[in-house]
Amino acid sequence: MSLKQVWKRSKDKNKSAYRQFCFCISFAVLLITSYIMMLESPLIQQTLPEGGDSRKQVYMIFVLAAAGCVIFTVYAASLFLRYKSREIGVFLALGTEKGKVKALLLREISGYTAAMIGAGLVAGCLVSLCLGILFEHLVKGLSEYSFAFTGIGFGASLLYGLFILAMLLILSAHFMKRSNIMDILNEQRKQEPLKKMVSPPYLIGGILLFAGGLLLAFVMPAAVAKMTGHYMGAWTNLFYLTALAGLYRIMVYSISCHRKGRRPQKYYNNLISYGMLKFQGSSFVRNMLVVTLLLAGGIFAAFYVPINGQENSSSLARYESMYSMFYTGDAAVPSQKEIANLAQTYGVELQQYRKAQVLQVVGSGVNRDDVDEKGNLKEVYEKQHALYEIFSAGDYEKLTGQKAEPQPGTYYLIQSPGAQEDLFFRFDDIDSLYLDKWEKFMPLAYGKTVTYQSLVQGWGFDHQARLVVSDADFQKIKEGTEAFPRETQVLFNSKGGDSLAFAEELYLRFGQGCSADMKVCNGYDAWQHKLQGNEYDYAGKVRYDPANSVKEADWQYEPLFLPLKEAGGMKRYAVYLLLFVYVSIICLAAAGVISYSRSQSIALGSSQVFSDLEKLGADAAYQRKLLAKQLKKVFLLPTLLGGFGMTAFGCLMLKTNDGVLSAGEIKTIGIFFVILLAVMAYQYGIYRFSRKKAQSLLGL
Amino acid sequence: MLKVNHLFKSYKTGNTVYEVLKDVSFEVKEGEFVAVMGPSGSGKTTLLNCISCFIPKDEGEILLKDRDISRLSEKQLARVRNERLGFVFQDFMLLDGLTVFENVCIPKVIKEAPYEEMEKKAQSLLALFGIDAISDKYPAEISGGQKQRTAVARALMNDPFLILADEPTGNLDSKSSEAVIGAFVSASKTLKATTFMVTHDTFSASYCDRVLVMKDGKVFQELRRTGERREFLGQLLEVLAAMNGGEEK
Repeated sequence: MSLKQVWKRSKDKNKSAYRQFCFCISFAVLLITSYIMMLESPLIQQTLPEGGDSRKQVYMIFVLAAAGCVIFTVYAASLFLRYKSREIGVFLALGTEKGKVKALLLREISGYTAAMIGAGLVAGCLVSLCLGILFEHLVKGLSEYSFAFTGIGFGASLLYGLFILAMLLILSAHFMKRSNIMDILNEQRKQEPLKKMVSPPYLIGGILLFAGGLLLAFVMPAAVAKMTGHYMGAWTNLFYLTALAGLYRIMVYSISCHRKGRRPQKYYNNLISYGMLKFQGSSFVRNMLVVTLLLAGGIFAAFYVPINGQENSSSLARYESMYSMFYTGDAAVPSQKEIANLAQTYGVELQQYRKAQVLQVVGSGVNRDDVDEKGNLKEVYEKQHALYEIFSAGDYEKLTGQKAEPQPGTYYLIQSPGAQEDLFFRFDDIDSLYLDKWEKFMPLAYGKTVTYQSLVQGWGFDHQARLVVSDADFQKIKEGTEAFPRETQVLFNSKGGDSLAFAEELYLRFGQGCSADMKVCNGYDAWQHKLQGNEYDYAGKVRYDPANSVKEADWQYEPLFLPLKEAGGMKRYAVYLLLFVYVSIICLAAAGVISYSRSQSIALGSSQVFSDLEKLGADAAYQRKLLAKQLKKVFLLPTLLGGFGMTAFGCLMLKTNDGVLSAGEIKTIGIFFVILLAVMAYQYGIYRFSRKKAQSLLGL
Repeated sequence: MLKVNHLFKSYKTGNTVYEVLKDVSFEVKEGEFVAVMGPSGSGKTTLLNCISCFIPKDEGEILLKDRDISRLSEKQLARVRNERLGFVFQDFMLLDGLTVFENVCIPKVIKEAPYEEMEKKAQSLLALFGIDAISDKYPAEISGGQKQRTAVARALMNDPFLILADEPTGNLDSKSSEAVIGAFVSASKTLKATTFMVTHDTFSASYCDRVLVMKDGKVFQELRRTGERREFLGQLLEVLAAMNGGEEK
């Protein structure tokens, strides 16, 4: 019988260790592959705006899940090596050449890992395909993009698998490097005890590192940018590592530091559990840390849905007019009479129809798109910066009912309620307009902001800024300009009838009748297009479907009809929402599997202790209680820290948005807690299942 | 204290039945320190495991203070193991994550006894066995002899009727063995503890009041110490040497 055959016989006898190893590798690759495939598919790539927050968040959570899965596979491999250590030690002790054993081990590890990576890749592709089809079905008619496998997706998944393979080979080679056979023989019994003496200063240090890390990574860059205009750059994210180190210390303390304190009886009653946990080792704490992060990531992704819903409904409540649309003079959009007739068809009564002329004029502004080599935000004043839209004071009053009396030579900026200046946009950025017909600059000073949401376009700054000037100035601008088409702004309300059907029909007719100049995306600025010519990025990138108002549009002239918005609700963001729900599920699944595996390894690793305790008189009920206490640690602390930490962060985000919590936001916080409860229930379910399995492993 | 009557135990492998204990009967009186010796395969450890009810017997009675513990339910048995029996194992079986003091406390922790009484008792036992100076140390930081004395102290924590020791000096050097046996002797003299010890070590057995020598599943001979320990040691060595296949120290 050859060494190879002996090795194989031993493998056949110990299938469970191999099964666990294979499951962990393939599951990790499956999760990451399905994530990458989905993320890189056109359905997601074309939907998530470039450089947008959603894209950043999805990638951030992806990095978290990928790191979690690497840690999880390395952990599975080290468990496997521990299991193999005795066998390897015996071979070495009996005089087998180390090189031969090493070759056998590396061949086995690489063979299984490669096979499981292959299986994970295939399964991951299948999962992403099924989910992709499901997504397509759910967002049918809402997105023009569909799910497809991409080269980047497959390449990245393969790369991830190869990275795992490399990690495991390095780990195995390192394992075989040891020269002391007794060390190898005893590896199976080796524990990784935590530092036995951790004092309160260790905990305080942990809390300070955690809070300080968050402060430096999250709060400081924003504060510095706001106060000095200096953009600190991505390096500040490194402080998140400090926060992680702090979190690690907090967890170490929770595991290893137990004092009699004021409740000595409780301390003694839990003494055995404390002692066992402390000896479960530092890998136990690392495990808890990864699970905490995955749960936090999963909850964060799940929060995206209610936050989005809340933003959607609260933003709708801010619109003063039910219907708002604007168009260029050459557009063949429905007239007031045609709209009234259409309304009649649907039994809708048209109310408060108002119309005003809008001028498009090039004006000065500040370009804040870049940072210099020192990381300071560059502010470049441009005399002819963007194309603005101008209302006369009289028309503004007619449209809004608000008295506006800007002094000649000044402007009021139309803004959303509660709008604030930020690092990139200031209310007073404009100081002149260019009257192209006369080739003259007309000085203009900032007066104040006026608020009327139904007239605000996009962010209300830069090329989307809309200004109110005195009637005299309006007349002067009108006479002095001709380069860009005039526009008309219409606002009205409706009462009764089938307003939804009416709005849909009007949307269709508006879309069909719009002029060539109106077929532009939100980021488009006609002046910049003229300036940059063919180099201009935003030309020809409009996305809309007149027959389907719910379909996601990126259209500057999109009319805003509240009945459509209310009915469409979050459907418009369906792809985003589904993606975040999927991300959430992946993170929670990874957390669940890691917690389950750890629970089983606790049971396996402690079997001798349980047997000893039985001999010392611990009955089955006591042992079950003891096991439950051990497993609770695996689940409880990560769930509490990850869950409540992320919930607190979510609440903070809502509060810091505008400094107040609206009724809608309070409702959203309620949903946060429902999600938190659901995650806790999920963790509890995994805990119950893991406990049952662990009990059966220990024969309890 | 302990009465074993007509105890039989066999193992079945395939169609072959191996009789390990064949009609074993003996008695251990209160306060007695009794050892069981014999060659490998003579049935010593099986006897101890049957008395502890770690394995079921085939026939016979195991009476602890006139109560047949082999007929108890699992729950009752756990209580007996915790409160009425004390165990000392060859490989100490201390919990690595607990200090010496905390390890000694374990039997009372399992019982969820009031902590004041527990602390007092543990401290007195640590002092009795000379390990109070290392009470805050962890098992990894102490010697084998100290570990085993910790295990002896742990076995006495609930004032058991009987201490069962399985090769308590098997993993120790001679100096440590002496210290551990000293601990058993102290327990016997000071606390009037009753001890039943399985051992291969003639030197350790020479400290006992009585030695049961087993061979082929039966009590082959019973030796009672009447005089000096050295004399008894010589007697034991002679008997073991005379035994066919016997093992000597």
